[in-house]
Amino acid sequence: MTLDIITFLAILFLVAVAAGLLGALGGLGGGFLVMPVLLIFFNVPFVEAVGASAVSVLATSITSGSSYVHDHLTDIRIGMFLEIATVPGAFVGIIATILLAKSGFNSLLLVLLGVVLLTTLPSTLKRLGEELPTGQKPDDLSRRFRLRGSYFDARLQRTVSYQAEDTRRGLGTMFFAGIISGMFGIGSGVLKVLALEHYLRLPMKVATATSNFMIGVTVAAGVSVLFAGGYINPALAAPVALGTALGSWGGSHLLPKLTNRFVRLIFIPILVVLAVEVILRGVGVLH
Amino acid sequence: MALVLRVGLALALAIIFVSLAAYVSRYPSITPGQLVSNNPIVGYLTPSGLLQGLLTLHTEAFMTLGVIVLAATPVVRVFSGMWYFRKVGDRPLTWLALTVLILLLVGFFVIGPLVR
Repeated sequence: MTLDIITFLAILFLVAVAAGLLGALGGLGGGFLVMPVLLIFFNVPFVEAVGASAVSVLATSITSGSSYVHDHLTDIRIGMFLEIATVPGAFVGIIATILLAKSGFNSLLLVLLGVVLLTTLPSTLKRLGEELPTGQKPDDLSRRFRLRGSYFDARLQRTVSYQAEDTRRGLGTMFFAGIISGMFGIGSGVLKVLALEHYLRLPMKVATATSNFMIGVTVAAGVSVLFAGGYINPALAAPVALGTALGSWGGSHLLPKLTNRFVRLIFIPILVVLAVEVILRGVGVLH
Repeated sequence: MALVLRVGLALALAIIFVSLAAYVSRYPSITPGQLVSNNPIVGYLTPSGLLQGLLTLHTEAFMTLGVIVLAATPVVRVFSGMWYFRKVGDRPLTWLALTVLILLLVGFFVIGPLVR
């Protein structure tokens, strides 16, 4: 059966709503499931799928980013400092994907995507606590760029101060996060939060909000390259971006009611099935 | 700033949605396969091509404009960050923000056309 164009776009939109909803509930962002869904169910070429996914991540990042700005949790100073590493990383990732796709290495890209999806599972399972870091030892870069700040924590009812440490390892991780983001059109929020929380030792709320700001800028860099290269098809990206942004918005409102139990029972099995399916397609077991 | 982000997103998605609806009504017999394999904005990626398309009211040109507005929204945030750091006399961060802006422009004007 051949779908007419209206039905095709409507299905694409509804699938993107579901992906955005599940992604937000799983804590990985709205665009996380879009890539495998476009590849498996809509047979979209790899680089065009990266373009549509990147546009949806951008829309989702802006949707949630505006609320973080309102809460004054985003540390633009630290985010800007680390963007020096993620943006070049994103360029490297995009160029690698385009070259691999043009050279006929789509199978390798599918396997790598599946592996990336699976490697995010441990951090999804391990819900991070809200304990505040103590005894931070800022390094020379942190002192020079004054990578410190404070925010009022409504739950703790006090002002929390922080200062970044181990910025070099943070920059290295951010460069790698940029590569993954560029290669697969995803936000790489897991890696970014890891670097911000564990290397720079920022409070969780600041790490999450700053990661979101960084995702927006990193993916905007990716979208600009893919767009100028002619790899973003708005006819695909529009329903995906609209659907994912809507689904993410709904997910963020449902999140306080469902959280961990939902994540364990629904999100993780879906993510595993999609990841395994793209790997099996990559190795030629499925077509 | 939150308002800038929301307005940018709403404007971009509205432009893309309306122009996509106009595109589909203009080409009702297009198949999903044709839509996936033929990018409708390829002819509008240069400034002159885009301007000409907008002036002649081509739906594909408006789709292109919508993607540009979407990608530009976080860039406005970087620009406003740079403006703020300059205003408060924070030179290291002003230079960092300027570097990020230059990198974003390099992506659009240099790397993108190279990988086309």
